[in-house]
Amino acid sequence: MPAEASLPKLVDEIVERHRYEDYALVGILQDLQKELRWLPREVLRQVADRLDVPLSRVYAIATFYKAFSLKPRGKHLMLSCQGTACHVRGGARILENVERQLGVKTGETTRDGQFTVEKVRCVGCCSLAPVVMINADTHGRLTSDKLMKIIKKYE
Amino acid sequence: MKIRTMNDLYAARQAGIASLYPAKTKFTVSTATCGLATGARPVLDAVKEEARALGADLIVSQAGCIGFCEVEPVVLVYCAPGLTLVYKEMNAEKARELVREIMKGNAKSEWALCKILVNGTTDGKPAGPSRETARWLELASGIPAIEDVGFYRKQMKIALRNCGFIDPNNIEEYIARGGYTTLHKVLSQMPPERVIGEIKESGLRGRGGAGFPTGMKWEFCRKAPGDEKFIICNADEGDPGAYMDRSILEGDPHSVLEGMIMGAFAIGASQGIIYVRNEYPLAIENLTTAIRTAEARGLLGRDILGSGFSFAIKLSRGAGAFVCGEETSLMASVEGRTGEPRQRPPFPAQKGLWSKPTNINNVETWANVPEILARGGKWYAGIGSEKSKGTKVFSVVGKVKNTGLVEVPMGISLREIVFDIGGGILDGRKFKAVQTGGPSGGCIPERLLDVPVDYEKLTETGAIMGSGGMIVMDDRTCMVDVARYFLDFLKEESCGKCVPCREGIHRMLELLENICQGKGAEGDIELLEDIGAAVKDFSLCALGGTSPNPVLTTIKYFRNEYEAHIKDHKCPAGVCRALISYSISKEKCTGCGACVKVCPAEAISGEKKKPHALSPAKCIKCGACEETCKFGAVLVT
Amino acid sequence: MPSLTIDGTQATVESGSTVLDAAKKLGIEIPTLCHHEHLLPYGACRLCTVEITQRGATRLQAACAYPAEEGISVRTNSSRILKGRKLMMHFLLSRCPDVPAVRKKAAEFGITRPRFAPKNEKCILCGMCVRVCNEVLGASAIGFADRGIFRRVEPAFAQPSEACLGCGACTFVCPTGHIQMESQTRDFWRDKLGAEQRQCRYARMGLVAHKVCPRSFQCQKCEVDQAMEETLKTHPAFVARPVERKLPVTIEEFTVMPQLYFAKNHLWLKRLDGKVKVGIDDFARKVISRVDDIVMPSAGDTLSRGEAVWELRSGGRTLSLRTPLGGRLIDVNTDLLTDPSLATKDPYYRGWLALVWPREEEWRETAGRLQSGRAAEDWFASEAERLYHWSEPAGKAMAADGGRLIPDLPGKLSETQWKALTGAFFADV
Repeated sequence: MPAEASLPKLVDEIVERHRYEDYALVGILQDLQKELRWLPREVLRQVADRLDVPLSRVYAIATFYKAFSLKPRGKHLMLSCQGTACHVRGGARILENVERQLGVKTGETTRDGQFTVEKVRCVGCCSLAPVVMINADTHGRLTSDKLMKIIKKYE
Repeated sequence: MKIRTMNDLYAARQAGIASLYPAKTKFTVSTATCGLATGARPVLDAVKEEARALGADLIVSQAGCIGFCEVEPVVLVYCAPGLTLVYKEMNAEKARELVREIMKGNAKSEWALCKILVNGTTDGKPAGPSRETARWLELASGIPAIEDVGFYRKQMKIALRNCGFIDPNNIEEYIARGGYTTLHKVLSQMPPERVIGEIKESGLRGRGGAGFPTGMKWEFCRKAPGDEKFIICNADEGDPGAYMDRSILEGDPHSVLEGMIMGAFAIGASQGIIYVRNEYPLAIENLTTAIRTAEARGLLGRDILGSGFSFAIKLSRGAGAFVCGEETSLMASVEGRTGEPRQRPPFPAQKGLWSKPTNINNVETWANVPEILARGGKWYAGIGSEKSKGTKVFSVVGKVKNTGLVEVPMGISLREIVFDIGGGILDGRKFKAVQTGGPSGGCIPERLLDVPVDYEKLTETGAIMGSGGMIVMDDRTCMVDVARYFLDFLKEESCGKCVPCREGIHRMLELLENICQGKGAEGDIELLEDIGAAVKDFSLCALGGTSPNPVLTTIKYFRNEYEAHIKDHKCPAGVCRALISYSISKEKCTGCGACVKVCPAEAISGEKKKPHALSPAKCIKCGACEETCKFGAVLVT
Repeated sequence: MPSLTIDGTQATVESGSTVLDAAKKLGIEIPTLCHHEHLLPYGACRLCTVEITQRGATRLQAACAYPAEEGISVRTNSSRILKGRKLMMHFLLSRCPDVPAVRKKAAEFGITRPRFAPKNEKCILCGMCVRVCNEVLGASAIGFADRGIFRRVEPAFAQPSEACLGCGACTFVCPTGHIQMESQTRDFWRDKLGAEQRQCRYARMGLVAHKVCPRSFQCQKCEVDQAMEETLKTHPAFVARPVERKLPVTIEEFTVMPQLYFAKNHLWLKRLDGKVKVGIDDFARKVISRVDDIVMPSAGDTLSRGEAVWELRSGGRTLSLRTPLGGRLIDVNTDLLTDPSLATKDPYYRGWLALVWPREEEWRETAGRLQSGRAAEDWFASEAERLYHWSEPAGKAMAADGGRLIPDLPGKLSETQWKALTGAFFADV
């Protein structure tokens, strides 16, 4: 995450990359989310200001779409897939296991800032259910035992 | 270099053939998301390293998924003209050995899944079989041909024609398999009305779920007055359990682009948008490359193939909202707003993106278009059932042996898909239901397994075709829990705008949660049916309108399970925690202690090598012991 | 004028009407909760759901949002409809069991007690507050947040909004009393503004020229305010409609955008954080009719004011345009390369030409020569006048006929005539 002072510059760069098009709002927030791992208030204010759109619209988008987080996320984002195939193959149990091992609830971040646990509706890896996605890596055919080992690798 | 003439295309095709069917041995690793998740990356590295170590003169390439995800990571070895050997369940170590063995002239039959002999007519005419081919066929005599593998026998690949066989980032390989050649024909010889005519004749219907005839949709849009028109590819594959669109985008992005260009030409659109889920990073990456390459080669942009027709495609990324699969929400999202649906009419063909006439089709539909126009609408209409033509891709997943993507002619029975292709139920358990159509679909019971796969026939069961997810469920799947699961999914995925969807889903969910906890009451089933009917009738969009389907179909076919929960406080499948308890079988337990290690509640105790005991008071019913026990000693009652 | 049948009675209504309008005309009552005569159809409460039969197919649709189309047949009171509506009302009452307006509405359906576990919410999410703030005020101070069962109404970050005019229209339209002008918002206004700046809401909405608030924005306690509201017989926002200050204006046949600056050669400019977007205005669009080819400078070039940088081609004629602003060209609209006609299809939005980064003094100098707001409207009027009376020196060709621009003008003028026309209207920056 860039230093505090360079934040406004980053926002400007990204807004400019999207040519100040207000219809690119979702894409702009995605790029910012990717860079910052969350969307601080001042960032959303700046985006609204630069695009000349109401702040309420930016806020509505940032809370409507689940890819966005208004709270800081941890270093690793762990998405536990809760698709149907994962559900019938024990996806809920895997998620509970993650929560228990990391000592957080879904949507929370570990105290050391390492992991944020979230659930996701389907990552399209149904043949390997149950699945978790950590950052951009997909881990399939999980059991409670296997999961413990995987988590250790990221710590 | 830009491709402008048939000669240019021919040159690109030659280059593609040279890389698809090289004179040397070629190792292709399937590196789609499902391959990568099972370790395709280390396999790829191992192949490269071993080849370097051996100083072997071979080519290493990457491709998408061949559909049989269960046996990933998969490696394809093109060992002689026209012959490809497919190896399953690879890992780095096996991959290294495979390279050594192949270079030694050993087919390593015991690791192989199948062999593919290309006959040259369907496949872009590679060099014909040679003496080398005959030699390798001899070596590989113990490997079954792909047609003889149960998983593939009944399949017919049209939409998935290239997936797993070409490098998605190599446009020439796509051209070598006939790609963009039909586009040249369309742009230079076919008037738009004829293109629409072919699609109409083919009988192609929308593969996203609703099954609206594609040709008619195009015609409406073409005829709609407007100075500007849009084409949208809906790649917001939202139904949990369906992933064919991801596979096509990852493995064969150009087929979608080519289909869109043809559609744009037919309709008179100058701009296209692909709305793709953000959860599909690799699909986004490959699509981005494909668009850039197509632009550089003059297949997208101004004056395509020198025809005077111009068309551009942009990517628009979704941001985690199931409702954006609904077309009016999708367009709202592309316009940079929240994905709230609006009432139709006006339909997108009249007033769509930026209030201009817009045509939306999903990925699989677009991928079919080039092949239909290459071989003719009549050819396509010859496949499938009376009202559902062609093939459909399904993701067969859940409690089934052979999980993966299968493409079958319409009209095939569910039984054939689950048992002949899918190989039946895991662990020898009993089939209970197959769920189709995601949160808009339903659960089809065993007695309806002979229903043919067809839009109308599936709708008659109360389920829908949907985008093609087929989740197989066995006797350990609780149908009340499945209904609860879908509503739990939808309570956050509904946009929340209209009352029936937002409140109705929540109220049905409350009832189901109570039932699962053994707190159900007499009359709950009837109330669920009443709410379901009203939510269907009164919702603003299709998300709400189809949301009761999982509830209504499970009540229709598995009412006894609901009753067992409500009246007997029992969950027959052993899933609903409040209604089950765990114990350890004295006879089966070997005292290995594996369950003790995984139990988070320290509820299991016992001496080593002696039967263990489980304390019901401490047990939190997480099921970790059952999942871990290799001897089936953990009992659920 | 379409004619349709509602519950067996024939009605002919004005085109553009909804089924709900048509029913009203016939005196047939259809219940609504999220409908408001001054707001756009929304279709969220679904109480107004009716059966619509068209070409043999019957579908259930919200009467408030469904167009009254020719030949459709509507049923407003089938048992299926009545049963469904009643359930919708149950949902609403169970959501808001203590809200008098909801209880009253429920009573009309014969419902007195919530059927489901009460949620004790105050808001039915009819969206009227959000819509009035957006559609009538143009302020968008409040909006929706989150989705599904977590959907709610609030200003961004649930904090008082700087965009709020404090007009109280949201409170006025709220059917449940959920939306209140919180003291927090008033405090926010009071703290933010010095005594002299504390403008009365009537002034903020543009109904009176200038009036300082003496009451710390406690409008209910202000005699002047209440007297005015009484005279207007409705909330002042519906009379003032401040949104119109932000909506496009039509001058003769030309659309003028209120928030843009206009250069003399009919380019618009919009300042976005130091950078400036440039495109052609509606006058240029109508004259050139349809761009079929375009020549643009490349991104990264440096432009100097007055330099001829764009060439728009149409019907064999070329319109050369000079840049009214110097600076670095940071981006160009590459969409125009595939579809140059976008410049004329959507000139004020997706059809922009360039994104320029001027130095501050360059902008200040240029801005002095640009028109905006009321002045721009007047200028458009005079330009229209000039165009309608324009004829080339030989007096043979004209641009307008009967007070309107001739369509496809470029194709109808000779090269010389076209040069004369563009010289008269597009040369000066």
